[in-house]
Amino acid sequence: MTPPARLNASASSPCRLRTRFVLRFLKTLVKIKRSTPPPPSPSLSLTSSPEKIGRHSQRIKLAAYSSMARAVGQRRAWSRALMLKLKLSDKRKNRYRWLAARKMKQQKTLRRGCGRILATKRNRSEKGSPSRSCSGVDELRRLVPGGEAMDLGVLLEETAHFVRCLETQVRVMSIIADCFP
Amino acid sequence: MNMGLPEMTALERQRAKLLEWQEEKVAALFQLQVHGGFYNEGGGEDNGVSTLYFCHGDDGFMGLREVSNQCNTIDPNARIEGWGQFGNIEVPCLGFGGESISRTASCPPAAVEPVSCGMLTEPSEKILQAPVRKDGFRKRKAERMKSTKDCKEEEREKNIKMYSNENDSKLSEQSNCNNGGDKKGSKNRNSTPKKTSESNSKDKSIVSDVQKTDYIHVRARRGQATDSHSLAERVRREKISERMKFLQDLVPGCNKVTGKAGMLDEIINYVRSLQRQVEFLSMKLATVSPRLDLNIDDLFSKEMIPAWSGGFPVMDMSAELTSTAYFQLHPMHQAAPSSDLEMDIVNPNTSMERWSSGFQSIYSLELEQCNPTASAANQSLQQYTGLTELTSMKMEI
Repeated sequence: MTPPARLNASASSPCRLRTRFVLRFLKTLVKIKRSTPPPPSPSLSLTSSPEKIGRHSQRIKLAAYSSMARAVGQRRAWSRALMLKLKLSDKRKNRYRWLAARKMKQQKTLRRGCGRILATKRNRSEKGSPSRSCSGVDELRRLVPGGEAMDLGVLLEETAHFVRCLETQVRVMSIIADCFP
Repeated sequence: MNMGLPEMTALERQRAKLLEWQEEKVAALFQLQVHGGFYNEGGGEDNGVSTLYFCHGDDGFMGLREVSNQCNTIDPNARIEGWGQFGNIEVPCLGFGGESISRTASCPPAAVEPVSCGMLTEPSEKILQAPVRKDGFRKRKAERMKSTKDCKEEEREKNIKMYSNENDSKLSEQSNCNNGGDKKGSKNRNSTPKKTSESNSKDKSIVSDVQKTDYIHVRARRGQATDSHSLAERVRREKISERMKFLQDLVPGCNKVTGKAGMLDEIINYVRSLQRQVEFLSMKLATVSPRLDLNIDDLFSKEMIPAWSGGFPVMDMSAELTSTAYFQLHPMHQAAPSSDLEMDIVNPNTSMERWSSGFQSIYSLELEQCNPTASAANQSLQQYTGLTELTSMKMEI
């Protein structure tokens, strides 16, 4: 039947998906690294502010998801939805940033703006599915990107592929993280 | 045939017709034994059609059963074209015949009965004797069946088959079913070949058993399935169940839970745990990445890609590095009792080993270049993060 065949095809060539993901992810990591100012000494990295680490980790997380979505490409509905979501949030963030910089030239407001955007995005996604009887399907729709607009059959198929990609992501990231003692 | 006898009485006409029918029957059976496709012959078709018209227009109802038996013996599955013609006339005939036979059963001529009964047994025997052939034909027919006409025909064939297999007591039931089946025949257009093949397989098994009760059950199911809505629903349900099974294989620990709701919960938990792992690893990378070397890109483009495409060959390394990498990997995974991570990562352990060893070999030089004191601190950090990861995993479970 088609869904197992399709997924098995992607699994039979895991190196291709994995290599694509790894390449992109590493490039993004390098980009992030370059964009953030290096700490004066390595020992300070441990004591750097949790805020900074939090923001950094957020960026890395977004980098991971975006690189995974781009590695999958337009083939899957969830990857398309994820890429669209990231692009929109990026635009919104940039626009907000630009507006904030124009109105109030304070760094504090910028940070608050970023946090607010993320928060509003979260709230919007939560309010999108109102307080119905939380069935498993609704939860799954929330978890899988683009799941709200999918039929149950399609949703399950996308979930399977999404789970595989998440597993790949976790493996690669754990390897990379373990690489640097 | 019957046009030339208007002046005869009804009874005489009936008798004459019966005689003709008997003759035709014998001829038909003979033809059946000789040829397979009775209805492809022009003469045969004409005979069949003419006999039906014959029975429909007149009171010679006793012959109707025999005609239906003829149809069965002639193996209706052999040819569709002739049957189609036949089929268009059948159902009203049968319905009509059902009522009429009950009528005639009340006042049958004694002479006719034994003959017809004899004929009844014969074709049924023939049907039983050649189930394989019928099944073969049926299979082929199910594959070919894509048009509405074919579906209708098959349904009517089955009606006739039932009619022949069951005795007179069931005739009234059948007539009702036939009429009902005819109504639903129009809706049968949307039936997929898959469905008909399913019901075919059921009929096949039942033909060999010749159990009346099972037959009726199949009938009822087919009655449901002929509705386009329920058919589509059934297809959808099967699709969903198939995908749930696939997900069950994918998600570890789903085998114990049965039922959609439980499995969905398991899947949701697994996806959430994976997302949390990604978040945790990103945080880990955020703390570790300051030490990331900027030459990664070049190194990867040069060395690693051919290695990856080649299927991860083991790179040259020092034993210490590999052992340290291995130890760093394993305690993390083995300590977690029933973690999802364990299931995923322990399996492709060899590939991970090679990856990590490859990384190690490349970056050992850079690491040595960096502060050696910091490396110890980072190791402790890594252990700490490893522990936190373990605890988080345990908490999740």
